[in-house]
Amino acid sequence: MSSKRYKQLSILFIVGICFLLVACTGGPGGGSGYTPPKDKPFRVGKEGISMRFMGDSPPATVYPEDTFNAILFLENVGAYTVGITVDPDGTKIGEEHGILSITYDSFYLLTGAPDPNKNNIQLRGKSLTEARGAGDTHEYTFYAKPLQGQREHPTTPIIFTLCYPYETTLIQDVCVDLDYYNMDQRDKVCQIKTISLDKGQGAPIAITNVEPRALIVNGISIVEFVLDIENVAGGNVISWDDVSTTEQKCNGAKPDRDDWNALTISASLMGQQLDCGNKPVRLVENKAKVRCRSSDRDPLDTTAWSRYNHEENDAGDTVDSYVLIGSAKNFISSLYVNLKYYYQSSQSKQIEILRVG
Amino acid sequence: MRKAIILLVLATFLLSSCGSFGPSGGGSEDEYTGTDGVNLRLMPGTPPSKVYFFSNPYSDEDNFFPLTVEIHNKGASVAQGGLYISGYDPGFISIEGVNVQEEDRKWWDCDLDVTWLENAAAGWFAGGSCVLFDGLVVAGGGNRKEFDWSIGADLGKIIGYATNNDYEENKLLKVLDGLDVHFVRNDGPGPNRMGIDFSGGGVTLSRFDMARTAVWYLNYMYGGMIQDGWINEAHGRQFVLWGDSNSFPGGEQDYQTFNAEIMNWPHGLEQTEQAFLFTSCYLYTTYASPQVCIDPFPESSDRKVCSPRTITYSKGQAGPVAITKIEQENTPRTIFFTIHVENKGKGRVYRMESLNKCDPLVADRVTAKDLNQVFVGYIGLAQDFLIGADAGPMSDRAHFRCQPDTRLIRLDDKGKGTIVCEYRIPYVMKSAYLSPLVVSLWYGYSDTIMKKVTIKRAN
Repeated sequence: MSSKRYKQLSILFIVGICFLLVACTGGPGGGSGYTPPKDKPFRVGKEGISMRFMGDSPPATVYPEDTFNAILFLENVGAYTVGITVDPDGTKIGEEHGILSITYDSFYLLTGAPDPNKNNIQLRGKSLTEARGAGDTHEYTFYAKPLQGQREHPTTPIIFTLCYPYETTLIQDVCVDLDYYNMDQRDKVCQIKTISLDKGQGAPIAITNVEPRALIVNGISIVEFVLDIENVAGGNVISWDDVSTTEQKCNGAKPDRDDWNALTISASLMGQQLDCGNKPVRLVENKAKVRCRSSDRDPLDTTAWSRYNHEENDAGDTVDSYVLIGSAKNFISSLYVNLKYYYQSSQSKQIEILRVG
Repeated sequence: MRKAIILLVLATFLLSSCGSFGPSGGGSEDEYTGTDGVNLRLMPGTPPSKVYFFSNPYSDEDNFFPLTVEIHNKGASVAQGGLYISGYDPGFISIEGVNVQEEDRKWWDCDLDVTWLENAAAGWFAGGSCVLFDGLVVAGGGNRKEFDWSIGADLGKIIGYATNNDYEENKLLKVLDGLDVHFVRNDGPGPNRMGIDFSGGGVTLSRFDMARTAVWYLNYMYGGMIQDGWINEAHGRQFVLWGDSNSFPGGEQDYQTFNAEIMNWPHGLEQTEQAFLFTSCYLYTTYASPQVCIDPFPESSDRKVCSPRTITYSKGQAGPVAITKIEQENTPRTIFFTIHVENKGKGRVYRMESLNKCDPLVADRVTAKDLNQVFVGYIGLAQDFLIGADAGPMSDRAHFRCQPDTRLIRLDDKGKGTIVCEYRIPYVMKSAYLSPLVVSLWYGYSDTIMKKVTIKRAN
């Protein structure tokens, strides 16, 4: 081997050893080399409970006096559990269920069960520990009646309707900046910016946009969030309240006009309740805009943002005001938004009954 | 080949010797170079990138985590300042010793007893005195055009009000030990025009004395203006760090640990990210003492010991604000020195008097008028500095006048600024001579570092 070649190989060897050493020690400054696994977000998606027919059931065509099955697979692909809810100690604190109902034309079809509707649909949703929600199959047997009348090949639909309570939960880190005019030249940890959310929150109603704002109301700085809400799954929204049951909302007297396309909202900023208005949010053409803001009239509020000041002026009159005290004005906080509603979706199939002979 | 090398070496020597003979005025770098001031560094793992919240903590240490910062004065000036932490949600995280709800401290309320006199020629005249508290008196008088006032202060009493931290207080007193300075503020015509002068015994032209005179001034000014001095110790930690010197080679460093506690966990939250912004706000000085040539007849061809020329600095003077160039234009009676300065550091320059607003938890906004202003604390030829009463740059015996007369240098968007100072040659001179020109710049400086921490619920 020539000396020049020998030199090149030596240099390569030394560089290779150096790379290996760096890799083993984790690079300059050392380090344990431990990297915790990244959490996979589970509050994504634009559906709640999905419905689909299994395989070719029900079949697209049947003959009179045929018996056939319709197998429906329900899967909770969202991030909310419809079922028994427990607190961190495991104590049951509530129970919810959905209702699955079937609509068909009894002129053409019959079912095996006297009441095919199911009032006990409970399915776990996705969570930190469960990447996939629970699913269940529901099987129904139908009988195609002998054909009557002149129609050669009538078609008749079978419609499955699922109505269930659901929640959309958004937990989002947001920037709070009480420098209303953005005049302060000190370094900031974040800038207020509108947050676009296009992946949904694992629910049929999604918050698509969060716009943080700083306002001055009654002389004090407050924060406000403008939320864009959208029905993204194509179904119907029915309002929720803590008085009515699922049967009343889904099955009972037809939901009131005011119940349609309405939902309940609550929001908080790092545990401090925000005011989103007392009335349900109404969707118009499947969309709505809501404002949630921190309180501006709470004299007991001693948070870092404002303090109620009670003092006398020179004339001896009492002056009440809110004073922005020396405090944190720019920081990252966590916004929590919760939407509650009933959701109604349906799945249907047209069955063609072929005349024999 | 050998001949070519010899020729090349000879050519190099010849080129380097071009120019006039004899020593020229300055041009060499100071022994202290660099553009660092007080550097901040987070110690590895403090804080960790991810911490966990336990709703049922197993020990007292659960839900606590440390944030440790190294502060290192790498420049040559003594630094007095505060280290603050902000950027986290105060409703979620609590930092030991940091009270975000601490009300801003008030400027002293002072009833100025003003005596109004009629003066047909000057318009009006007003004068009076104000005793702010035991140890500090403000007195002054003037008319519509000019207003002179002075502050007399007892340093020991002011320091006693200024700090709550005994260790840092003792360090501060140690820094200022031996100084005996009297400050005078001279208001010029027009709005917001003020000059600061000082005189007194115990002050020399050394780098160290110039720096501690600045520290003296800042504390005495704030001690008289804001309760408890300019660093609010409910918001941050005071530090006093010696610069690079024989006693502290490389500069003094210190470590500050903030203990953070996750106070509560909001319902529904799985994890969140919190940002921690560390801000240092400190007084600093930049010192240069180049040799300049005082030549009343620069155009003459007489044999001289020196000739005036531009002095350039490329490596700084061991401070974040650097003097980059000193130009001089000589006349038989006066010499105009144009001093170019630049913010070479990565942080922000604060006007000294606005340093208290650097605190991120102070409600007051920091605007353009608080930033990018450097004060020429001292400028003069060494020979003119007199130790004793009535010394100082603006006294009658001083021969320097600067424009603006407030001696404030405003830096532009690129961090650059200039000031022109005129030196009146005190004697009728026929020949040139060398003299050290002492320039001391005083300014506030701020730097930040940030770390984001993911906080996750563990159970």
